[in-house]
This record gives sequence, structure tokens and C-alpha cells, in this order.
Amino acid sequence: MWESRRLRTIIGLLVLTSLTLIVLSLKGGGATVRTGAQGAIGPVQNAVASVTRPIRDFFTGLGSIGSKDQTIADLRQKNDELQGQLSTNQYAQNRAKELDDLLKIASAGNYKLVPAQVVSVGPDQGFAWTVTIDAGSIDGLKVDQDVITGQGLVGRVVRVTKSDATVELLVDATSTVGARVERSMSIGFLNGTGEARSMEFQLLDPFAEIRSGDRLVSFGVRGGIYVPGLPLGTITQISGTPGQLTRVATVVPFVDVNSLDLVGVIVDPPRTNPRDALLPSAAPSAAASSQPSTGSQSSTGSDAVTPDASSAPSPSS
Amino acid sequence: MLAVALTVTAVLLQLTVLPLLHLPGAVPNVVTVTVIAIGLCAGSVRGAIVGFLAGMLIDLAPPSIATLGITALVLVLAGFAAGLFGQDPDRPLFLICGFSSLTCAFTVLAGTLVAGIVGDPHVTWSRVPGILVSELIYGALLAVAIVPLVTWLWVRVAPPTGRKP
Repeated sequence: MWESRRLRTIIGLLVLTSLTLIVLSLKGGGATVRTGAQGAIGPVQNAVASVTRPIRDFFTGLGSIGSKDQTIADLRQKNDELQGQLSTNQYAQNRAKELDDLLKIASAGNYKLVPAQVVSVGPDQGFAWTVTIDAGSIDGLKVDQDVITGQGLVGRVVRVTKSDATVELLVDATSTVGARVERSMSIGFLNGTGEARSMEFQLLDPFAEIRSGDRLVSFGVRGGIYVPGLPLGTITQISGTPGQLTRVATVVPFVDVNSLDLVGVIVDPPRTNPRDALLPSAAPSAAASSQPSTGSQSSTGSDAVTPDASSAPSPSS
Repeated sequence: MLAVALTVTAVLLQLTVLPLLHLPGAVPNVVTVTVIAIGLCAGSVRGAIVGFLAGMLIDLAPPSIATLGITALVLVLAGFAAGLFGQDPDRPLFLICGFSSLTCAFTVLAGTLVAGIVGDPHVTWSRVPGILVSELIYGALLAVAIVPLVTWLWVRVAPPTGRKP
């Protein structure tokens, strides 16, 4: 009797507390608690991530298993060792490649980058696309800085503690970034849908011409959140006809969020807009036509949408 | 305390180690299965309390930005349900696996429903079926490993007198 009453009281209290927290959190509370929790748990996650790296290497390089013969047990052991070395090598090569890509994009865009490692990923059950990286305020990170890989824009920093930062990914359902079609220069908004491989691009001008296969770069203004010219993704499907009020295109992002590992945070954005110079050159004709357009565009007009390009020569000189 | 240590380990595994292994489907839900295992050993009250703690930890630990308290709410129910299911040494493992599998799927459904009702902007309904399927499978697979391990640890470490319904 006493037992069941105590049971009901405790369960009721726990459920009520949870519900109260949900309501408080929806009203915007909990930010300071989260920052505190990140400061406490983040370093532990960093440590766990670096300690478990060999296990990850093992899993990514999990290969063949030897025969069951007893006499070649030592050979098998040797084989396993070599296999381990091989997978580690493979992993080191992948990381070197990732760093190489990052350095390339950083030098092409004149960024100052801080490299960082993904140490934890938000649970699928919560639907939010967020990761924690092992760089924080001591590395110069601030809220709203851009996070990239060699492929393109990944997301932005939403919370920073001393040694960690939480990054909201581009594909998160609440994420929006201004985007520009590489070919036609028309602009719109690229919204995350919560799906890993599909985003929505909304054109501002309903008559603007877009095609499947068009590539998008970020459209940032100076002082805004996103650095201009970062590769975003490729249009795969267009719904709606020209002139229709809401024309939406489906976009596959360049960055595969499911295999994020090494990322870079832009701590110092470039002074000039690199336009689409960061996009991988798809066809020789497209690359050739985009080269002169970066120079001519700033002089010929479209001043309303490219404030950084038109204002760049006058105040700096 | 053993329950707290197990919960913290499970949360770290769930957020830091498992996602980076890139296993097929959604990330295996170690935390829910651990809460279920503790609920089976320790009864409804302690199962629910551990569920609440684990849920809060998941909701607070970086990189969480989703609504605080939803995971706590569903894991309270999971721990409570596991306590009601109770411990029986004669019960075959497949029954426990089935229970774990269904409870994992239930926590996903309940969490998504609550998030949808309170207007959480992150809810993506199109991802629910995929997550449900992988929860059903991983829930059963993880139970095979975690439930016997937690039971063994519980008998070794925790005082045997504290077994209550």
C-alpha cells in the first residue's frame, strides 16, 4: 500500500519535472545551464574521443579474419597487427586528405582557419543536427562563426565554451542560409529540412531561371553570419513553374554530414568575396566563364545584392 | 553508485563513440537499453529515477540544442515500464529482447509525439520510420549484450536487499 503510493508520487514528480523543463526550455530558458553542462561534459567527451580513436580506426578498417588453424595462430596475430597498421594508415591518409582539402579551400578563400575534430554527435532521436568539436574560445572561436570542410559549408557555431564548441549543421531543420546560384547569380534561401541529403532552396525572384545541376554558393554580406562564396550544394529537382509564387528546388549538399570528421572553423573571414572560386571546377567552360565574371560583376552592377563587392574598393583605398 | 556510473558510460558511448563508427541506420540507443536493464534489476522507482537522470544528461550534454526534458520524460516511462516487467531468472532472453526492442521504439514514438505537440522545430517526420526500424533492431541486439552485463554487475555490486517492485 505504502509502496504503491510512494511509487505513484515519485513517478508523478519525475513526469511533472520533465514537463516543466520542456515548457521552460521552449520559453527560451536553459541556455546558461547548457553552457555549464558543455563546460563540464565537453572535456570528458574530448578525452573519450581521443582515447577511443584506435577503436574507431579498427572498425573503419575491419577486414578479413584468418583461418581457424591452430598452427598459424602466431601468423594470424601478425596479420592482425599488420591489418591494424593498415587501417590506421588508411585513416591517417584520409585525415591527411581532409586537411589538404581544408588548406586548399582556406588558401583559395584567404581565410584564417582553426582545424577541429568532431567529438560528439547529437542523438538521431532528438532530430537536431548538431555536433561538438574539440576547439573552443581558447582557439579563438566565437558564436556564429562558419564551419567548413574541404567540400564546403558545414554549419555555424552556436555555443562556445573554453575547450569545446557546438555546431549547428546546415541540414538542421531550423537552419537557413542565403544562397546564390553559381551560373545565373540569382539569390534565394537554402533551408535545412532535417534530412541528411536533401535541403530546400527558395528563390527570391519567382521568374529567375534555375536548372537541375546548378550549384549554389553562400550569399553573405559583410558582417553577416555566413562568409560569402562557400560551396553549398547542387540542385537536383525543381518543383513549380516559373512565375509561381513559391518555387522550391531540392538541393543535395556538398558535405555529407554522416561522415564528418575533421572540420575547419573560419575565425577570420576574407576581406573580399571569393564568389564561386571555391567551387570545384565541374566543366572547363563553366570555370572559364566564371573567372572573368568575378571581375566584371563588381563594376557592372547588381549593387543592391552585393554590398561587399561594390563597397570594397572605395573605403579600403 | 553503480546506476549513475552505468548511465554516464552509456551517455558517453551514445554521443561520442557510437556515432563516429558510422554504423548502418540510426545510432544504436545504448542509453535506453541501459535504463531498461537497470529498471529490470532495480524496480520501477529506481528505474524511473535513473531514466530521468539519463534523459537529463542526454538533453544537457553537448551537442544538444533540442527541447530540454523530452528525453527525460520518455526515459522515466521506459525505466518505470521495465520495473513493472520486472526481473525473473527463468525468463528466456528473447522475451527481454522483445521487450527492449518495443520499449526503444516506444520511446522514439513518444518523444517525437511530445516534441511535435509542443512545437519543437527540429521534428522531422520523414525520418521517423527509418529511426523506428533501426531502434527495433538495435534495441533487441543491444539487450542481448547489455541486460546480462548490467544484471551481473548489479548482483555483484549492489546490495541484494534493495529489490522492490
